[in-house]
Amino acid sequence: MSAIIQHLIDAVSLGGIYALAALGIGLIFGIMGLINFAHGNFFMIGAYVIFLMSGRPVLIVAATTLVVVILLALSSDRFVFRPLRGAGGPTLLIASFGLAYLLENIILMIFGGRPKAVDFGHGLVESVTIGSVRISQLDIFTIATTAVLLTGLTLFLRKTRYGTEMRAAASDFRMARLLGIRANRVVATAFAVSGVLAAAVSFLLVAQTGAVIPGMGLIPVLFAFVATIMGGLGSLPGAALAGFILGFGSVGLQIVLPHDLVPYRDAFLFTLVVIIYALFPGGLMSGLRRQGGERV
Amino acid sequence: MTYASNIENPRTSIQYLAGQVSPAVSLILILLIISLVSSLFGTDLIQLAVIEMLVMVVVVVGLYMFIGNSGIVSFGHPVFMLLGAYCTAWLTLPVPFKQMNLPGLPLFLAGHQYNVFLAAIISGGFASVFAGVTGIVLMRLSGLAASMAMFCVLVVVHMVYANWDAVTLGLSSIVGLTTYVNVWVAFGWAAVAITVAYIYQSSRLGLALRATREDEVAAEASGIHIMRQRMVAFVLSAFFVGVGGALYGHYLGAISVSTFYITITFITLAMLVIGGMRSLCGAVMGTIVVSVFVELLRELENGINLGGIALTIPTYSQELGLALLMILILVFRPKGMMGDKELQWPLGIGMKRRLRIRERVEE
Amino acid sequence: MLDVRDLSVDYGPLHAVREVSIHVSASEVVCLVGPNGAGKSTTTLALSGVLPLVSGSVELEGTRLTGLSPEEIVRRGLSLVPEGRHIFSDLTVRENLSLAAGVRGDSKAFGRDLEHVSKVFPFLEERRNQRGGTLSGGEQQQLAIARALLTSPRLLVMDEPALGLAPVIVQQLYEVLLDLRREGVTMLIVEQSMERAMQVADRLYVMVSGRVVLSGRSEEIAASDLKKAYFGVKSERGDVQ
Repeated sequence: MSAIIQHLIDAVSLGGIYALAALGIGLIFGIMGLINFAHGNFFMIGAYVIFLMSGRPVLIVAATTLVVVILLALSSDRFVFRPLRGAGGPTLLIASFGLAYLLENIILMIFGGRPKAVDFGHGLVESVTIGSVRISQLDIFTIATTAVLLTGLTLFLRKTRYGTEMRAAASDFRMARLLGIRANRVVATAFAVSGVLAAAVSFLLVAQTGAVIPGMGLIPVLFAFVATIMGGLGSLPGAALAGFILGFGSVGLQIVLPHDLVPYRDAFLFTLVVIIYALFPGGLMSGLRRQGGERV
Repeated sequence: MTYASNIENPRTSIQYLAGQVSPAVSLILILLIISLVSSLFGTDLIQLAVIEMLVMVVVVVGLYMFIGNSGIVSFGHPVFMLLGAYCTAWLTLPVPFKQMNLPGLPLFLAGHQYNVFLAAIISGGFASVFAGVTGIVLMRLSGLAASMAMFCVLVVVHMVYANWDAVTLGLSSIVGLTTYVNVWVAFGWAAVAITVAYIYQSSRLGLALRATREDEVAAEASGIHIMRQRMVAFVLSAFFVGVGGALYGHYLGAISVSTFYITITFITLAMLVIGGMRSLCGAVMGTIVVSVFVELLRELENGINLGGIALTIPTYSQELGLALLMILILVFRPKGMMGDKELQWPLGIGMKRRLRIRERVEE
Repeated sequence: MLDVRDLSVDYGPLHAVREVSIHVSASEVVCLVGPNGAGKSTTTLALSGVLPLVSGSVELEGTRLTGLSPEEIVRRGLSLVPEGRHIFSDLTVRENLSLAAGVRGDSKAFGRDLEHVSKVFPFLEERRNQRGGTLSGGEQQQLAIARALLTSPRLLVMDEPALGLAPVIVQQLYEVLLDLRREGVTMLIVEQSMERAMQVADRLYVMVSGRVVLSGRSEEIAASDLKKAYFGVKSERGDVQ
């Protein structure tokens, strides 16, 4: 029984990370039709900032990471994606891939390709015992962070002016402009918010793995892409839900697979998801609510 | 879209024939000249660079066969290189090596050593079969979903190969592949790839697929079976990318799973994008230009001597330079160097009225 | 108020609008009529900054609008209600309306206008927390118009407000437009139906194949002139002002 609860907690924890990653992707996609490959490198750069600040007080590290990643996201918009405003989906996708490659090689140039250990979250290895269940502080931290960010994002989108403008722009960009909503500002805001989400994910990734390596963002961001598409393109709740489902799927496979197949866990998951999506291309939310159709 | 005939009023059958094959011929001629000059006058370094470039032509032309005709940007085609390279390794490495290091291989692979040319074709075929099987799922998807799914395939196969030590040595390199790929082998395959690509794009099948690129609904209404046409392109392109992977393995002499992952995905895509995704000429010229560019940067990274002054740039400048170049092209000249145009005979850039209209409609 | 001179707009390779000149005076209602494909919608999109002009100029009360972005043009007083309603379906009625406030600096003035608009369109207050996508076609159209009015435009441009609506609803809608006209709102309306156009317009411009072929006060334009214009034959009297 307690084992099941433990697994559930692992699943929610991992699902939370994937959900946050998916939201970062989905936010930009909803407004611009862009799936940002470079988002995974935002995770990576956030992580390397944490690495550089190893040993310093957590709050300072968090603040610095946040600022750096937000600036990075805004610069990506300003220098790569704004010049490409109005370009087609394939062009944007390739450009984001180019940006991702650029960022990864910058890190390679500066830090080299070997993984580096990070002194971060060492206090979180301890566990807390509730009843018969031992929960690691790391899991609590992850789940709490996820909950805070999800709530914050929802409040931002529903209650603030910027959030409403973003939702309008995601729904019908041209009409939003016809009402005076400034295109550049809305897009920049979206990038800034996605930067916040990316910084959080980089935090959690470093806390969970204790190390940084240039390619670390690839698998998480691929899960994010898959979750965004699974959730129904343009649907933020769908993306988050899909992120959680992937987290559950991953932990589930970890338990179910025979020992020597465990390294292939993610491979199985991706394969399953692609097949399911090909059979049901509407995404998760299309069954629950009428969407505007697949925005591919 | 390019049409088979580029001469408006052919007066003789020779002119007509020249019009039919001319872009392919021009490209093959260019490559032939490069091959000749490098093998006669080039330094060892230059010759190696040219071989690598020709192998890349095979790969990028294969990539173009799918992307250029279907309009779907595949981020996963290097998976066929991966499959092809390991396939040829399994086929052509000496038996003792295989029996000692790759215990997971079935007997027909581990117990025999096959001819390298045969192995190249089988490797291409293996990639094609894989494409056929995965295509059943992948070709149902469009646009973004398809691009992501293909990338997933690359990641999945990479993960499997990286862990399946008994068959692939996992993350370690497999060394000892016969380096039979000289400039003429590479040129030969490049010429074949270009010819097949051209015949395909001019054929009824190729045109049918290009129709789906422009307007899926209209194409289907005209009786074009989208999935089937995409599948044809996918399997065909997989063959050549697979062969390209095999050739690359035998050019390097050693392979590992990391050779065929993100870096090569980016480089091949950059070659296609910079040259122009929509034309065969774009694919080939892009490969040539990027190869030269990267080679130059590579030399600068190693350090060159300019009249007594030593010039070095930091490592990874190749990658950064290429990434910047590609982004700049996307911003300032998104159709790539060649745009939609193919090379015409006599050697010059021809422009057709229909192409012009197509460009304006697309803008 | 609105001065359009020799406007030309391309739609890809097509010359959709060719040398169109339109003039709208303050508190006037002008209709742009013509058959499908005449270039009427393209004209409105160019006026509002969505489509680029090939040549020509657009001025609103002396302010040059040519070449500005849609966001800038709204801020200078030209508001477009495009064809097809374009309600943000996931946002509530109140949220839809509130977006217009971004253009206004003065939230008190916005509040007053919101009250006023709620009187013109009473259902807005009842349904203020309903999602836009759940409204009927007629209600959505009225919401779109209300929303545009809240940007406090000097000129309201509407593209086929009656499109896709049942005749009864259209009639109600046109009652509202007549109300707005009585209040002195300056409007440029694209209309397919000559009848409706003549109901509400002070003046008409008839567009065929991208050009203005006939213009004049609605009561002066005889039915026969309009028919001829529609079928491509210029009237003997030519342009009448």
